[in-house]
Amino acid sequence: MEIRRSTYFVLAALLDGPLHGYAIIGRAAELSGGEVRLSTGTLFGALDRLVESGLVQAGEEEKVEGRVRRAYTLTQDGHSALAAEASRMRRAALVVETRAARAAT
Amino acid sequence: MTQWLLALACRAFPRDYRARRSGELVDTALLAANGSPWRTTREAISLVGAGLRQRLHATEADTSVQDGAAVLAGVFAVANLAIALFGISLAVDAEPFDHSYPCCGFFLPNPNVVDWWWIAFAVAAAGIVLGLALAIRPLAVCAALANVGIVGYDALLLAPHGTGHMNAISPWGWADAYPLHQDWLAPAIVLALATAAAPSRRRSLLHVPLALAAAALLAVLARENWGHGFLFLLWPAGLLLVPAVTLGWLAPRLAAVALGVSVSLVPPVVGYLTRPSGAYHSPVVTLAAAPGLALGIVLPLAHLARRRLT
Repeated sequence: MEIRRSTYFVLAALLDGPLHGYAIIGRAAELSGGEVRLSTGTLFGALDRLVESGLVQAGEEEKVEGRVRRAYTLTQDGHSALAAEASRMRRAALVVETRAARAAT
Repeated sequence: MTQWLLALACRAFPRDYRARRSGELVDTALLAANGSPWRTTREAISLVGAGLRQRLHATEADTSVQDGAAVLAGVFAVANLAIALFGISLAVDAEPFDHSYPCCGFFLPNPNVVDWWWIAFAVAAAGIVLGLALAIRPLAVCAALANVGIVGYDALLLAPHGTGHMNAISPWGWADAYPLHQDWLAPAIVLALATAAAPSRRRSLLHVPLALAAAALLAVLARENWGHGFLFLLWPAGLLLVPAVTLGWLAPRLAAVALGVSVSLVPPVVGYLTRPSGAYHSPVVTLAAAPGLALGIVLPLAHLARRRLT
């Protein structure tokens, strides 16, 4: 299963532990070096799909400092899917890097 | 203001989804916007986009269709009551109308008479409005069924002989008037179906005087529009129909409204298109009415069927 770039960084953001919506936006931006700037609509669309496919688990809604939050956690399937995608991208990158190095020499 | 805008953008999501998630969505968008007008706009647009995508994949057609039925029932109940009030008002404050005036070789029936039919029609119409507004479902459904019987009796047994009560709308029988002859039977049936399908939901008591005021206003406007009756309703109906048909694929409730309005417009459109060749036919109406109405029925049906299948 190929994962979209924004979804990849949403999953990656959850590697260190459960996060709520806004924290995921910040962490995804940080991990991508500012390249992935998720809007709320995009984030929740991705989270809904990930929860539906069992890659992410949504926690109960809670109120923290007057704000409604829900923590999202990466599931075991989510870890596996993320690792598989990272491996796929590494192989894809390797194909180009190997040939480019050969062509240079 | 920012919160209000983001909450408004959340209206793009289906109602069930909104009820579960809007707090979280708005709070996350507020934090992401960080008080910047530009970011707030971006967040609002993204919420609208996500909401529309969610609607496309929503499987909550049943509740939304019922909501559409409730809207349809409310609108048609008010129009139905307006026609009843119009008929009653003819006797209370009759327009100068010489019913003995011979027209075309025969004497016109006097429409300015409140007989048992107008009274029964008004009682049924008031029963539907009260039943819907006060969430008394048996009253609303029974009154709507009685309404179909009363209107059907007039349309099928009296109107073909020229003694139908809808003659009061246009005593001179102008074909540009609405509703004439059997025209109101289809809306009465749609009203009964919508009333039966609408969820029983108690509304504010304020809805009763509001509905009565709206019906009275429509009746007064119809009186001012003497000879054409409620023809002016075709314009708002048409204006409602266009967005309802085009946006029905996103919101099943709009598809339900479009379908109900389109079906109720079939009799006047067919009547217009089948007028004698000597009568005036607007080329625009003639060309647009039939395909427009067909689209108004087929597209909402397709939207609702797709929702059912997914």
